[in-house]
Amino acid sequence: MASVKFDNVTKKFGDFVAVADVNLEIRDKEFLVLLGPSGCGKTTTMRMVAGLEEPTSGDIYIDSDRINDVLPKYRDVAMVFQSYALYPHLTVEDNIGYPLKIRKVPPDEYKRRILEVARRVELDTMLKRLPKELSGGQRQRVALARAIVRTPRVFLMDEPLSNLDAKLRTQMRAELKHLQHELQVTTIYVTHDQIEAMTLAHRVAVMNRGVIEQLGTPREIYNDPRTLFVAGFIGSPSMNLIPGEAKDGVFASAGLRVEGAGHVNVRLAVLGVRPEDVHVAGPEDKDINLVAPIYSVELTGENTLVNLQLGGQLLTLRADKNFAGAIDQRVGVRIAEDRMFLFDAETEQRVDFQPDS
Amino acid sequence: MLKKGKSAALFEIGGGFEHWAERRLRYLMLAPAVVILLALTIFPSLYMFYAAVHRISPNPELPWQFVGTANFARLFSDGQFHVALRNTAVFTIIAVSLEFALGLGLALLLDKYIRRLTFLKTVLMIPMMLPPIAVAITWKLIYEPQFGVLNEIMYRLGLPTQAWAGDVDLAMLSIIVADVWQWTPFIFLLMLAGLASLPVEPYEAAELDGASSWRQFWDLTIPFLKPVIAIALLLRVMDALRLFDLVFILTGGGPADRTKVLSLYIYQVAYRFADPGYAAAISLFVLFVTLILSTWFMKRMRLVE
Amino acid sequence: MATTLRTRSRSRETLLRLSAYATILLALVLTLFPVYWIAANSFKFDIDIFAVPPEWVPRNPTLKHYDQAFIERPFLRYALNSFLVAIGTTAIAVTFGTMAGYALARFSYPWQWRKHVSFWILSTRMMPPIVSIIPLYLAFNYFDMLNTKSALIIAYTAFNLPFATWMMKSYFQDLPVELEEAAIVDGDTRWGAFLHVALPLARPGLAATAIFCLIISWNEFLLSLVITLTEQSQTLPIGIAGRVTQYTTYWGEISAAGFMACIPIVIFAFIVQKHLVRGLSLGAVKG
Repeated sequence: MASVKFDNVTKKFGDFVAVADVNLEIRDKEFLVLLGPSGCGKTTTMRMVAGLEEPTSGDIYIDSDRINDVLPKYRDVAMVFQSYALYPHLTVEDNIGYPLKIRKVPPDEYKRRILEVARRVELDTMLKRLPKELSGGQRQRVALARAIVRTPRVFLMDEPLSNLDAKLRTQMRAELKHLQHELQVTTIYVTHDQIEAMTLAHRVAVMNRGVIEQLGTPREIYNDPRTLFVAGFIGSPSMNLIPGEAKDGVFASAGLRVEGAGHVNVRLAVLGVRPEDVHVAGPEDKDINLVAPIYSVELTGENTLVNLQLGGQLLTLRADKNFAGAIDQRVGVRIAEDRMFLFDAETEQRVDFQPDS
Repeated sequence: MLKKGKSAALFEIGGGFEHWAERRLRYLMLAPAVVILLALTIFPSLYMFYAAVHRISPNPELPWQFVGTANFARLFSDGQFHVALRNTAVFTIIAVSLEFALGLGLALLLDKYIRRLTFLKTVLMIPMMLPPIAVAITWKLIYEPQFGVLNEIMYRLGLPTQAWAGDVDLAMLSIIVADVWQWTPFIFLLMLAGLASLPVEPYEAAELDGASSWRQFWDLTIPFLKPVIAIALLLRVMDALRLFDLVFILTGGGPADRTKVLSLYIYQVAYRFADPGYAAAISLFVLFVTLILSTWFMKRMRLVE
Repeated sequence: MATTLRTRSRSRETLLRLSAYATILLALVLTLFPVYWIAANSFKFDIDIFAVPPEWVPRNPTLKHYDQAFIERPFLRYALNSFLVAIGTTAIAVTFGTMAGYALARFSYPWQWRKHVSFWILSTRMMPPIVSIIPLYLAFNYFDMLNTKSALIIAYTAFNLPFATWMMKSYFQDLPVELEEAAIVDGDTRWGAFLHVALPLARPGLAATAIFCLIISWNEFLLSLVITLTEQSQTLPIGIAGRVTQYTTYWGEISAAGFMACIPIVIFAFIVQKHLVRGLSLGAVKG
């Protein structure tokens, strides 16, 4: 139905740069997630599509139309708010029907479409209730219904699930994904929750300090982080990031020495490795990268997170759920060397292992 | 669901006026109030300044005579003005202090017991809502020397009866009592609201730390109430400075100018002595003082933003 | 040991409670007596008003003074003037104050205008009315508007408008901004979001603000005293003050008129009781 394009878009609030020179194209029917910590500019980016904020510079397009100067009402986008933003003085029916009323849809069609949408989100028995008489999950559905009642060109969702409890959130996540697939509407979804991003998105744009750090499929973001920020932000528990120096194919830091770090020389380097790519071995085994004492052991159920004391920092690894180890016990560690990432601490960019290939 | 074919029309920028108005809504919505208030405050202030440098004859046929700063110079030598200034200060300080002492004291004492008695609370608030003129005649009736209730009580108690508002020494006190009667509920109500918004945890922590209730009052209650106290103080002082109605009815400024306050004096200068030029000069002085006072106070207390 | 401590504090608590209720009772008597007294005197014959010792309860109740004030003398006219002026100024103040209050609560302006304008509007409310009577008098005189209700409406707007602006600003600030944003994305204009969403939600605040404006106008004395001299334009407080003359005070008449002037105020006070704190503090204390 519609693609959305950001062309060198910058948004400043006074001196604060909320969004810095963003270029981004969201494809037709795509589910794009803007992911990042709070204050990273993701919500502002989305609000500029809705017309709730005006870009300081740059252009925003829906399809081929430049929308910078288009009033929100003519943009034909729908938005689901974190707080749901249901009109407390209107019934469920009137809440869902508000966009139709504004557009002067004739009464019989108005009724028909509200009912149709309400059935879809299983609210058809509650049409006469007021928002305050609904549960959190039901309110969420009303907000959703209000957004889909007119099949907009673009859906905007601002952390729509974050006010729900954990169980409901998982359920609504699945429903959202299914709904988007069914409706085939271009969707921009803002969240700080990486699980939501990974599970929902076709593509994820990871934002930090107003800049898109990386744009890619969830798999790319996870398996191939391009920057130090993305590496540290994605994954739970997060990637181990060990500062050190890379020289002639060897990465060295206090207590750790890894060979095979390419042929690059980086004086201030950071080695990144995910907990699941670090494996426990005996302290005397061959091919281990280091030996370190156990700092703490946390059983999560499906596996065990082991923190090792490594120099001044902790190295986290994911071990089998049956792992048994005592604090201060020394264990050997083997790092999957093909799963390591090297970053330049100054530019915060990935350094490829084989730059001369 | 909007038809696809309509999408071109959807991206029209919007009708000319609609777009124009939306873009400027922030100014359009503010403008009427600002224009009205400018007309009603800035214009009179300037006009008053203009009047203050003239001698204005009661005869409207005669032209205004430019006198420069003469009217302002009179402020220094006019003994009546100094009396009015002093009376206003005395009234403001004593009345507002009493209202605070009583209002805050009552609020602290009764907070726990009256919190749910909404109806009673509203009844206690009645005096400050009443027309000042009604309050004035009511107290005039009570102070009445011959058949007033107050003298009846004095008589029953075996005390000498008084002329009250007509007595040189008691006139100001009579005005203050009536004002305290009317405005103590204001302080009481605001303090109750302040107390109701106090958080519980700091008190529990203080209790565990072994702080006495006296210490808790000074270390917790007063700091927490400070914003409310500031607002109440500002509003009461500004109100006390403009006192007019009570004096006009109860004493007319007498006896022997003991209750002549600034507002009343300006009124008298302008209308009884028919000297609007000089009245304008005094008004400017009062305006200046209240603006300085309220601005300083509002900035200090960060009442705005 | 523990038990003695406990009983001691419990009896202390009882004592506190008793003295609290005694204080409330005393406060009630002191609050209500003057109001009762003016009502009581309004129902007495002149001779009973002057009785010594005072007649605590009217022995021969009469409506004579009400008849005198409202039928023979023009107090009904004064009351009507008061009412019309109050309605007029309230309508203006609430209409423009609501818009300005909304703008100051929601929009941002260049050069910190929002702060400066808010501050300026508040400080106009702090201006003592006496300082504006001279220019207003001269201006109304110039435009031949002395002794008109329009002049009073204009004059009262000078203090009602800042009040309404600050009140409505505080009520709008209480509303979550997302509701209006939702309306905008749903296809409404910014103005439409104000009209269809913010305004209906601020309705209780709007009503309270209007009632406060009515009360303030109804009670106003000084400006009316200066601007109006004719029966056709004078308000109730001026009418009452006019019966307190240098030579005699018409006690029965002014008691009747004064008591009648109080009645709408008391009713209003009960209507807005939930908003009293906010109204009296210009929206600063939420209550």
